[in-house]
Amino acid sequence: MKRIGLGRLASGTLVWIYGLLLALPIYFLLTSSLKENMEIFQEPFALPTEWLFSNYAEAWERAVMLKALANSIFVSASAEIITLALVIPASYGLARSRSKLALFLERVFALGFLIPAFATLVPVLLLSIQLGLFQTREFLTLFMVASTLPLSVILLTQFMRTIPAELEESAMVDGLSRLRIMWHIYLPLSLPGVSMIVILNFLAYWNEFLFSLVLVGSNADNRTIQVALPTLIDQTKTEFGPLLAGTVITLIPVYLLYIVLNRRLEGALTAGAIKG
Amino acid sequence: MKIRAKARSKSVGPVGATRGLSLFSLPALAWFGFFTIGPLLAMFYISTLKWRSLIGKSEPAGLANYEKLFGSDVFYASLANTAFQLGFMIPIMIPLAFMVGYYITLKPRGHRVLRVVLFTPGLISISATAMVFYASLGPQGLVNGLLDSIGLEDLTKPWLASQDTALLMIVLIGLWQGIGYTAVLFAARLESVNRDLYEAAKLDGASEWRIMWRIAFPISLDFVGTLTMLQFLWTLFGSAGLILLLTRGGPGLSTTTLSLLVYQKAFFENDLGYSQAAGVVLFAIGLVGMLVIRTLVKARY
Amino acid sequence: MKLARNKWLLSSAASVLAISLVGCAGAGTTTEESSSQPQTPEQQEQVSELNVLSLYKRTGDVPEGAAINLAVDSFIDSTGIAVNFTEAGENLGEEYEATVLAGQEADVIIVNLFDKSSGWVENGAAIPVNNLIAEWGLDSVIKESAVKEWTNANGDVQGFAFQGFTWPVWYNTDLLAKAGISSVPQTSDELIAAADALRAAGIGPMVVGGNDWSGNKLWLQFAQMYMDKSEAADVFSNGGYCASPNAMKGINEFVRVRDAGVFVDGVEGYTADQMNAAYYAEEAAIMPAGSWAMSGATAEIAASTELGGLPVPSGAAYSKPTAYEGFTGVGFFISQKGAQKLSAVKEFILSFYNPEVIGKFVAEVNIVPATTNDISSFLAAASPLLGEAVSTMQSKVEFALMPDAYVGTRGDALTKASALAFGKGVSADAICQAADQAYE
Repeated sequence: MKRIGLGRLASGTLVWIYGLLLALPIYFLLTSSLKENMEIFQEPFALPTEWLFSNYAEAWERAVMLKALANSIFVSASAEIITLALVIPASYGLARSRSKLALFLERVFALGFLIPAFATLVPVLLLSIQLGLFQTREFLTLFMVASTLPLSVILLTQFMRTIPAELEESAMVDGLSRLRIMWHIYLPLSLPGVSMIVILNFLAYWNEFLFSLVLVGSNADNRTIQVALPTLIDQTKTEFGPLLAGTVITLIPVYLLYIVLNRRLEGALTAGAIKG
Repeated sequence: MKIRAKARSKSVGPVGATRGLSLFSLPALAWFGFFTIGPLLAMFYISTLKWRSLIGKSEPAGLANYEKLFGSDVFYASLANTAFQLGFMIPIMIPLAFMVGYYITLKPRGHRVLRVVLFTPGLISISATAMVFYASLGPQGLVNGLLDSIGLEDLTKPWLASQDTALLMIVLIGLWQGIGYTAVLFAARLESVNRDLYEAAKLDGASEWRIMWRIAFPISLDFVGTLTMLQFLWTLFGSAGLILLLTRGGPGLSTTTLSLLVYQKAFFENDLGYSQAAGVVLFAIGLVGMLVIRTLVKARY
Repeated sequence: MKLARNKWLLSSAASVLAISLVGCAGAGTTTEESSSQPQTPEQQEQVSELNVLSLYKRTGDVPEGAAINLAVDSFIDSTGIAVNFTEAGENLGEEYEATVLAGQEADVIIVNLFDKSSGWVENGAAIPVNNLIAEWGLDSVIKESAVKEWTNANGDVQGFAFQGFTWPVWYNTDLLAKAGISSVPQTSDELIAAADALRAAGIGPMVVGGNDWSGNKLWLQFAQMYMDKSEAADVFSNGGYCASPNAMKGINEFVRVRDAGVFVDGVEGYTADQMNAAYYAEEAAIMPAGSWAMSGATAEIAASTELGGLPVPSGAAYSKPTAYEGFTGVGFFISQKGAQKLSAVKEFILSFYNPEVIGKFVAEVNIVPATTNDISSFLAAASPLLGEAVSTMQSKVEFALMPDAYVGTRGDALTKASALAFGKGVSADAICQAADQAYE
């Protein structure tokens, strides 16, 4: 038993060291956001000598963050809702259907992973122009939904597959329609899976930069928060303090969502909702 | 990969009854097809054009872009870099992430905090990550500062700007990002493994290590395969964002990967046709890699 | 099978759509070119709004903010036309081109002449302004040399030059004195000796952003040391560094200077920002920096700084240390859309050439205007370094060829080659090969 103890200790230490490696850059991010340029470069490790909360105010104003946050929330929330509306029925259908077609369709969704995002940037741009939706948040939303469909469908289908079929069969005997079964039985039981894709998708929508930049542009009225952030970088002289402060601002909603949903996710799992 | 669905007669039996269920996926499918398959096909088409900048004229050029591509030193350099990146990262990341994920499910002290901390790299955007590492690995950054303070000044280097270390840094950052994030996903899957199996093995005198690899791993092999494939594809396609922000493919060609080349040719060097040709090659590599991983995973059974 | 068939139909529909997108996009530009002609004032309808895409920023506490607002506000006040001002960053080039493709472009674009924008007039995304300069009375205002820099190979003047710059080498004479150097180095050997003395005194010699555009320009200064301007123009435009004996001489000189320790340690990892920070913190004594960096220099730094050039070896094509100057900084482009609103555009652009506005730019942004105004009164409010740059420095240096207009779209790839060049022990051959690869 001593062997197990040592092994545990060693792995524990290693994991916590890795955790420290993860936390260190965050520490750096937070402390530097309160310093000014010279101090950031000269004393990267030290705590700020003066806590420049003004950096946050400056970032907020210069990047017009209020509008940008609103745009990001609009895009992320709308995309999230549309995606769930599409994915939940799709996963239910594919998980429950035992036909070859279902397997085929699942493979088609998997094809989505193979699409090299960078490469299709130009064609998607052309598509938005053709549709007359260039530089609109609406097109970005529609596109983002499509980009996260493959992963969401595949993951949620896997989750739903683990729900025993007997539940459905007895419900059908009771005369419930498929839609009601999906809503009242499958959805609650697959909440951990749904939570997982909600988080992953939110991250994808919120953190996405390239397509948001190219499809919506840098106009302050329409741009998302990730596009607004680099405007704090100057061509020749960047104030890193406000830049990092702006970065911290963009992280807050993400952390909040994660902490909230993480408990649900974990709680549901450990309650044994899903049996392997 | 493509299964041609056989023609079927409309049978009413159990399979027929559930076939209609597949229709539920139609809206998602149509949406997905329109926004992603269409542009994918357009990518193939554009790769056959001579088209320089967005506002320039385009004309058909057949396979000229591919000829140029396969005759280019830069292309082969980018292939080598991509191979190094994937070959180094994936075999290290997946086993380590699995071990960390397994460790979390043992519920050691502080595992809740650990979960949040480990997921951090997945939470922060690419630009935030780039900013932080830029500041850490710069000539006057965190890492060099640390080396200085413990008396190892000789080892300080401009890590991201030196030909020998730049690509290695990109790979290490990729590992930093991927291990924690993937570990949390593994943990989610491993939560649902029946603990009785572990108990039984323990009674037989198996060590934690053995249990992890002989029991937990085979059970979740499918999921491992999925995540390996995802990481492979994410790295192959998505790492260009990080490289763009940190080194722009330099110094020289040392961090130019194939996906970076696609972006570089399109937006910095005004050669859209050429860029999309590289994109097609990228797609092909992704396809082959996906099949290879699939086969490896299936073979275990 | 119905569904399977539908899937194939769907993908073929998608591919037809995809192909038509590209076809339409390609065709779109050709028809646009022929249909737009600048309209006479009578033909133009009442313009209510002007769309401007700009590299300059108006929001926040930026140096150019006050100057821009002065110009834009006076335009709005006198014409009553609203201004929709979009600020774009590094991606302005791509963003503008995408809007042109979509038919949604801005009327006026405020940006510098660089690789992307230098192709706009040729591709019909902006109009040539040859006649407009005279029509709007700017022919006596904008310097002839500036107009020349903005003229492309076809003889089209691509836009209105506005902001120029000088790009000297800054020497901190206090630090030099500390190391026992009493005068600014004039030859390469003097530079190397100075670097030795500085290192012995624990001061960093020359700092430059080896990793980015600032290092790239310095490297190109070395590369062209033994070439006359037309040869340099040729090599910068077409490559062939390895094949040019004079270019190789310049590159070998670079390697010699580098290996003699003239650059600070780790220089290949520095960016322009970090270069400025190191110089301002007096960690390094020498840096090549443009006039835009002058706003960041404190009074003490400015007082101890003497401006000069990059020392040259004997036998070089230049007899004095070299520096850059140019007028391809920010200027005004007019799009096809703007061509339909010419009288409004004219008022907008002219509001920037108002002497008071120019004075504010000089004083607060430290630009060297591309105009013929007498700026001596404004220099008092600007950094003293600017005054020095436009007066006493001029006789100490010879101006090398500013590479940007020739390097064009290779700029990014060439910067990666120069980043490589600053690394320890990299051979001249490896460097010239990397440079040539940028022209592939």
